[in-house]
Amino acid sequence: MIRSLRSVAFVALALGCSAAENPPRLRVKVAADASEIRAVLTDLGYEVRLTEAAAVVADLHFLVSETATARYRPADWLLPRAHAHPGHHHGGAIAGELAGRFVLRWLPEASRLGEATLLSGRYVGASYAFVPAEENDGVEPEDPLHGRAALLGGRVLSDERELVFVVLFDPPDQRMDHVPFDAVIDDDSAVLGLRLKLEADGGVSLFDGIDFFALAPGAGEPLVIASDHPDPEVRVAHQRLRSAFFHHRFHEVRALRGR
Amino acid sequence: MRSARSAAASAGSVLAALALAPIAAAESAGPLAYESEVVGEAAPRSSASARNLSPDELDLLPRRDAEDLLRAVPGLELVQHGSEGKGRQFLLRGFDAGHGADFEVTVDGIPINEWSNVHGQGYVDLNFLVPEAIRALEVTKGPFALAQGPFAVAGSADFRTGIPVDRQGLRVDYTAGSMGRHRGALTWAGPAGRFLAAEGLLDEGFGENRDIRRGAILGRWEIGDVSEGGAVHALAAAHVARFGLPGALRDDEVRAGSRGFYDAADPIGRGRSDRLLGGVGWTRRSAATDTRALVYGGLRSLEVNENFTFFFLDPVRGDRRLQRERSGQAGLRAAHRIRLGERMRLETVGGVRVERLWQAERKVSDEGVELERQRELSALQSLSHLAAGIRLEANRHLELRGGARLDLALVDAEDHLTGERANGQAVALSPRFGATWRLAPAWRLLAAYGRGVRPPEARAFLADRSPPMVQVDSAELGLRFRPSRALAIGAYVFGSHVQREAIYDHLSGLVLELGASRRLGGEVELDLRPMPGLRLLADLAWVDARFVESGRPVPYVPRLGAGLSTLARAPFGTEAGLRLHYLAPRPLPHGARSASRLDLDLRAAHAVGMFEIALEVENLLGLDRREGEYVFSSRRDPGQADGALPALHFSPAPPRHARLTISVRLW
Repeated sequence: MIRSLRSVAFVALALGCSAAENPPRLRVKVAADASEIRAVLTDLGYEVRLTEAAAVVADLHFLVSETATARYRPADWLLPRAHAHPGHHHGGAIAGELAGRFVLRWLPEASRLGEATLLSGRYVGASYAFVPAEENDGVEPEDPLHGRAALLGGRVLSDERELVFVVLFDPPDQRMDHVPFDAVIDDDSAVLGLRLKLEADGGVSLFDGIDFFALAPGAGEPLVIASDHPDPEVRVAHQRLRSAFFHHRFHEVRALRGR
Repeated sequence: MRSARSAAASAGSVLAALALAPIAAAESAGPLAYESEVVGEAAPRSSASARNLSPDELDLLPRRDAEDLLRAVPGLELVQHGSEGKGRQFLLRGFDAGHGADFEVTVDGIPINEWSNVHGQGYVDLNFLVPEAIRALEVTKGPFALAQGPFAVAGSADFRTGIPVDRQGLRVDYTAGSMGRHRGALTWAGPAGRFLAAEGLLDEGFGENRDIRRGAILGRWEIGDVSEGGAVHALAAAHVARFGLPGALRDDEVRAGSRGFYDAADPIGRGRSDRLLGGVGWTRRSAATDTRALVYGGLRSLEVNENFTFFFLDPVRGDRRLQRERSGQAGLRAAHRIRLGERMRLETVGGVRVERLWQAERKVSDEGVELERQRELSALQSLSHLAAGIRLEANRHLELRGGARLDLALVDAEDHLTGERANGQAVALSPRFGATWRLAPAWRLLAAYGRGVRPPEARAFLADRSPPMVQVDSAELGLRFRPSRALAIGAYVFGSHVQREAIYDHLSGLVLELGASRRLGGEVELDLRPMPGLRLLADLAWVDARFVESGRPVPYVPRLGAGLSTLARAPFGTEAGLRLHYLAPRPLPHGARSASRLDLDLRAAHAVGMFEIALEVENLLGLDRREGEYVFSSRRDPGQADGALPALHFSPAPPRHARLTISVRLW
């Protein structure tokens, strides 16, 4: 009898029964995108040209719109939505991730971070942490990035003057959320570019408000802007630059086609 | 190939044998003593698909509780993601109605949906209903009848209490199940619809932390005559239930073998549900009028301690939460129908329901220590409605129905965590129209249009003094063919459009208005009574639910379901029911897909004198079936860095199991 009933099940299965399928997971490469790093004019009239730009990022999340999915996600009766909800208040719901720590080097040469796992969907944002560089990240102790979360170096030009500078950023207190990422990802042919923009929408420069030459240590000496600089004016400038650099408006994730 | 043909032949033989066995038995036994009560055509239809489930549909198929009776409704899928004591999730006509947010349930007219329940809006808990004391179930798919109230978006069901004719007198039942189930039931049915039913249940459940303990009592008393001064009835019910809440298993863990198919994802989740409910109704009928009034009230308590996401939200302390709800409600409903001349009837309906509630949500440790208060809210809320409509016999062939319903929600809510207090209102006007065209004696063409509404929950009023009611416009066109009592066929097409979906997001504190969605579908039903005592029921339901803007399918809702049932009663005291049900894979978020499901359930009973013995077998095929499937993020281990991505989780349906019931009719 049971054997006959199993035969019924067999026929029914043949007619259309099927197993559950997990959401397809796409493996998408992630790399630094330096295409928006070009000479920028600050509000004080300085032209800034970067020659070096790097950061150390960790645990990247890629987010789909929570509003669009809210009604049709498993509702409150199934899932709690606590205040610490990962993704929530980060601009969406997590549908992609790249776990781990990565040196994100834009200049002098763009680096590749690894392969993120994404679910198909319309993405609206990204979120990642900036962490202090360690030897385990491949950053040697003599590297100025060591112990810092990011570094920007280059030249500032004004009239006939030129100043070499480097900014050493301490890590921010929180993850950087709401990084713009507007793309539909439905296959693994894309490369996600983590883009640094020196000029945000509205023409605001990352270096606005920094009077480089007023902070210059002396003729021929490079300007090092860091939180542990003895000059309080320099520390104020560091704080201003840190606030700007770790603001999502100077960052973007782009889906670049081709591999 | 040969084996497939052989299997198909075997399958065919088995189905044929199962279907023909009662016929053979009946033929050998001579004339049949039993003729099932046909209530399906008695009440005027608001739409083609509306129907009353008859006692044989309710009695002859396996059931564990009263909510299981809804499985007999074609196109309605039930999902249990806890254990038996928890309210189920309803899926109907392209709507994921959650625990009742879009599916209205009433018992003898008393609304059961808990409007602002902490666990889920519109939460339906039918633990108090003793299944032996349900005599009929009226189901309307879509919002087409004037009496359908808030939450009747996808449809509604009204349970009619009473002891079926074949259970009159005093009767005691004892059930033993193959998975540690012990249930005792006592029913007494007196004259004039009076009855008392009680049950006690102990069930270890089919897997870890799926146990249930429940006690329920339900009674009804009627006096008077509906045609002479009116009849008064009183209904009273109470229940206590304690049950396990096993959470949802991660599919990848089960596939990897680190967890069993019937294990608990959450081995310590618990729930408790208690209720007191009462109502007094008055009915009076004359040749020209039909008047009904109902006063009801009750006390309710629900507590749910669950962890579905493990360490996703809080990597250190875990995501366990404790939800508590206490409420008291009272209400009044009245309906009056009057004949205006030969061809027209006027129907007016009105009512008010007032509820005082307190609810809290706490983040707790596995040991029950409170870690964080996440919600503490009290509210006084009322839902009022007024409706009027006419039913016009335009001519011999055409009946027209039209009316409108006004629903008003008033809420005074206080958030005890922030000290914020707010009051506001939401209102909705819902037109309801219908027409029945008698094409020929056996043919009916029915058209219906209606708007269903879901009021915003109490919390939403703290964000917006006038949050919108969700309004869903639905239409149905159906053809019914009933050439004789032996055959009825129904075919329906339907559509629904949700212009604006609004939900309250308690994190952002905003009422989110989401994109439009639409549903298109069709259903076919066959009811065949080839000979007295034998009935074959078949149904097929298909629906395509999509978001208007993106064209993507609405996740979680079934696209295709089909059922085939054989019900038989023989004159020598034997009765049997066999149900085969198939549910096609459902679309899930992010391109995931649920498994299909195949159910084959059997009930067979034989009565000798004062004794009856019944055997119920569920999942006769012994398949590992998934009842609920969800895509969300969870992290099994504390401190786990990865695993933020949504993954497939599921709640298993019961494995093959049997229940044996011995009944004794004492008098």
